[in-house]
Amino acid sequence: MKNNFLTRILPSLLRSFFSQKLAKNRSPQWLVLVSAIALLFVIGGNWHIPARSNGFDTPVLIASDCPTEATPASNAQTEANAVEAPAPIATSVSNVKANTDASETPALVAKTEIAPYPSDVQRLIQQGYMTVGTLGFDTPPFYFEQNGKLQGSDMELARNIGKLLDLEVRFDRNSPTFSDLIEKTARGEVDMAIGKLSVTMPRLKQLHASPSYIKFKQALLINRTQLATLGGKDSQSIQQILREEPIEIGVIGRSSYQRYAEQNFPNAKIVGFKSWTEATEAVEKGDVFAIYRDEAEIKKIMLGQPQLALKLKSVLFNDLEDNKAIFVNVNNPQLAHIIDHVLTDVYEPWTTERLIEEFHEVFTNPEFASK
Amino acid sequence: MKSPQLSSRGLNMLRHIPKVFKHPLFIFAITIGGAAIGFLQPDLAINLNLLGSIYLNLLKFCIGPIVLSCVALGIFDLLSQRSSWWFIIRLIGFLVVGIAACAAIATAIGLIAAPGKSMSEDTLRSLGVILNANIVDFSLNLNGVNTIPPPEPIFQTLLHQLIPDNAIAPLVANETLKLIVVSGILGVGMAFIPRDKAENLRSLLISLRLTFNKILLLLTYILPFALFSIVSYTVATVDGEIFLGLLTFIIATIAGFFLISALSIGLIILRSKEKFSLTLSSLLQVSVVALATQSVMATLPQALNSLSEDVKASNNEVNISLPLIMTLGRFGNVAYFAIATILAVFIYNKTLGLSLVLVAILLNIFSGIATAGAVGIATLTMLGITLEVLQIPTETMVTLLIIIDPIIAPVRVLLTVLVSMVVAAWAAPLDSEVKHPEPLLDTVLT
Repeated sequence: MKNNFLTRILPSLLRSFFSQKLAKNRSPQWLVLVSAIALLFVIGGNWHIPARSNGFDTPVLIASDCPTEATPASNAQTEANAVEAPAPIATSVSNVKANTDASETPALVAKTEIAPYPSDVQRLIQQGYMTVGTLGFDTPPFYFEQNGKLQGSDMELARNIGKLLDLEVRFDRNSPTFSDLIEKTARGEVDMAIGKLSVTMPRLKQLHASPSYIKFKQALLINRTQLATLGGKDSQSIQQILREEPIEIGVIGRSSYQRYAEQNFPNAKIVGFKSWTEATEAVEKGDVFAIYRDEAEIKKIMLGQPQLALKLKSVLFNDLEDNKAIFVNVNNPQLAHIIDHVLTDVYEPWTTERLIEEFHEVFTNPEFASK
Repeated sequence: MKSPQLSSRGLNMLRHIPKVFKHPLFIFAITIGGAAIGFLQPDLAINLNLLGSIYLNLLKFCIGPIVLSCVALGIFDLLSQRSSWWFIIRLIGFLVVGIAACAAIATAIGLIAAPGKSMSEDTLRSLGVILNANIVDFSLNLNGVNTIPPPEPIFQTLLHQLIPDNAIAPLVANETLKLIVVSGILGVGMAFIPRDKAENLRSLLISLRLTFNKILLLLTYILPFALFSIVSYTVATVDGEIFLGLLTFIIATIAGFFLISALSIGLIILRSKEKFSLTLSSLLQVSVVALATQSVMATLPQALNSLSEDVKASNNEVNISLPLIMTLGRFGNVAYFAIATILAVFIYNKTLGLSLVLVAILLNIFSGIATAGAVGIATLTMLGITLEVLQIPTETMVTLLIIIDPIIAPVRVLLTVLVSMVVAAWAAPLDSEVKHPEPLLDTVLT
């Protein structure tokens, strides 16, 4: 009723009062009457300020009216996604959280109704864990098994995301290739995929890609003798060879680099190898002109197998980047938002220099060089 | 009563000190001592380097005036007094033979020693670690524009380095090649003015040379201490890893260079009309200076004195030819490039045939001569001329050579100095052979 007065009756009275029609014959008595009625409503009422509008057509929940009991974790989560949350009810709750302080008003929080989480997060909370898909083979220092434990920078990132969500992280390593992992994620068999995965258009068509958590340049490892034979000695001559000569370039078969190679070296024959180790052996023997991958993998070979420095030359491309992302199934929108937020605002992306500094032992270990 | 005896004994000993300082055994002991300090106490050796660098600066300080006076006087005497085209022909002939012989002998040594053949995994690994630490990441734009500075043609570079735009600047900047050109032009100019007018300048140049010769003589007394400092510093700063990695190559190079140096000493002794021991002692002293200073031009004054006074080669011809030969005839570089090419051939598994060997010898003569204008490490990059033609990766080889250069540089300088002396000694007539031919200037003018 009080709200009706403020939103409907009072504006209507004011409009009438100031309208052209009434303006001609308005009197002081009329003015006093209107002001008195307004004053009575204002002073006598138990006034409540409604919560900020959420922009949706759903009723706005008032904090004092919400009986939901929210956990600190869920509070943090909803706070984090206050702006982007798609579900109207969730947005309402988050907006309330944005305008009230849970620590100062425990009574209000205690009274809040059980707010349903977005279905994907709700499912994860109910099951208590999330499944993280990664590759079946080791690529140190990103993901590798040592002393029976899965380790590496990517694995730590996945565990940290799980920690933020109060979830146990279960790794699924049943993907022998990058494509298998992407397909598995698209089918929803894992909640997210991580494993130095490059962002490519086919992958983007299937899955949500997070912001980059590793920033790399694309790179080649070239057989020095073949390079000398073709007369490559400076950046111009090497560029010409790469763009025009019918050279052979090795990549890991069915990886993103197979696609990159086809795009970037149109005159070259692209040779797909089963593993990076095989590709490295091929370029060392001179079976292929060069092998193609990101700069971290190239530097790992140069540092871990320095005996190859006499035979192989590393070349980094200033104008070709390969940034790595976490892939999430499109049916997990809230999980995707959380990961995006963590990588944008919390996590500092890795660079090759930082990786070498942090994982120097891995980079200089010959065992890991071409893994 | 005893003190006069003691003082006379003491004076006697003092008189012998210069002889002791110059004795080969003393020099050898000093070298070993310096190497031991450099190996055992590298920090101390690095601090001791001050003495060596002061000595080298004093030597370099003498080079300019001596080159100026020698070349100007030599050209002047060649044109106005007594000489002949025969000397010039002989000079060119011996220069070509010297360079070709160095390339051929060094290639043969390389083939026999076969450095780089079947290197062990550990050796390759240690070399790779060194290469990784020294080669900067190579990056380029695959699709964008890559800008590189346009290459300067070698011939134009050489010409640019030959022709000075200021008569005094080469003397100030210690640019030997330009200084030789300036001195040559000065000598030609002197020959074209009346004899009595030129005589004043000639006397001045003679005084200049004698003065700096005396300074050099005094400097030989501190040579052992400087040698100790230089050797200890060199040993302290040499990378032990790479020494082990390229052990065969380093040993082959040093042994080969000593062999060619010994041959050179033999040829000079053969030419000399002085006593065997006297000539040998003189040449050993020059060798010590060459090894210690690691600078060809710093050895020039000693080498000139040795040829003129101990070998008794004609003063004028030696004065004019030796600075020129030492500058243009980069015998050490030619020989070094020859062995390094063989190393590269083995490392990169190139098929080694007679044609490749002959091409390599020819290319190394060319690339060795091309180093004439370059100084320091820049000389080693000229090896790229040979390797690029043979389609062998250049970057790694040049990097390795640059790293081991502190070990090789002394013997490379020694070889250049001694072969230059051989060419000068055999091209120039001996004092006893001079027959006062017609002045060359008259021939030129008619």
